[in-house]
Amino acid sequence: MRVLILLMMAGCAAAPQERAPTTSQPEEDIAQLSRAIEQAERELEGPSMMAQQADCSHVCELERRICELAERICAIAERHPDAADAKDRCQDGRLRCERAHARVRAQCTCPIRQ
Amino acid sequence: MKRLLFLALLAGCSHAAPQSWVERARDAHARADAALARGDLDGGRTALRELVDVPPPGAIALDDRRVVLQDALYRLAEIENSDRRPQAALAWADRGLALGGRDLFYANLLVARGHAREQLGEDTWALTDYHDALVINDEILEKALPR
Repeated sequence: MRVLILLMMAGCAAAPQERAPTTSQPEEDIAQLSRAIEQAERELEGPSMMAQQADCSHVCELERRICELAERICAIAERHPDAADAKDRCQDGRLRCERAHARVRAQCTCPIRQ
Repeated sequence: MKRLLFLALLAGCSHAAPQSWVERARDAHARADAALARGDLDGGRTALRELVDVPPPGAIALDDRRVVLQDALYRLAEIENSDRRPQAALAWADRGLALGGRDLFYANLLVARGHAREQLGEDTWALTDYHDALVINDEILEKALPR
């Protein structure tokens, strides 16, 4: 990616020689080059960014399952207050549920659970 | 949702599966769906048992065979759970879990076994199954979310 952009920059760098000589405006040239590079970056990153998008129905379902299981585990742990292992698993489940919730909601709008 | 996911996976995994077997699996699930929708647990059992009791053709890839069987066994276990027959549910779930894997199909079977164990009063074991299923779901979520 970086290499491609550098190659494009190298190509762009030659362009001013072909242009009609204008009143030397290096700042404007630099700004134009920057815009061209930004555009190229957007085009190059576009498809890969699309490919990285989450499948929201899938990840929402996974989040729902994680949190339901955490609730179930904690319900059992409450019935057995003396079981340290149950308490640990409940805590771990809750943490994973919260983490899943935060990560999924950062990328998807999940349907409200009934 | 689970059904859609299963059918999508089935379509995806059917590269080596003879069409007839895939169709048979789809048909068994459709008949089970219809039976369960009218509250006919026996009809659901019968449809799914037809799928799990007949050995798949030898040409089926092992992983394809596993997920199709595990999904049917999970449904059988949950039918028994809903019919308050936890021992039968436990047997179906154990049979599915013996096929191995570490994916949604395996996690579903752990949940079904957890439900059975809860009904049997084996809370500690149920909790272990639920937690194992939760961890697998979390791992799958981790892979599904872009970094």
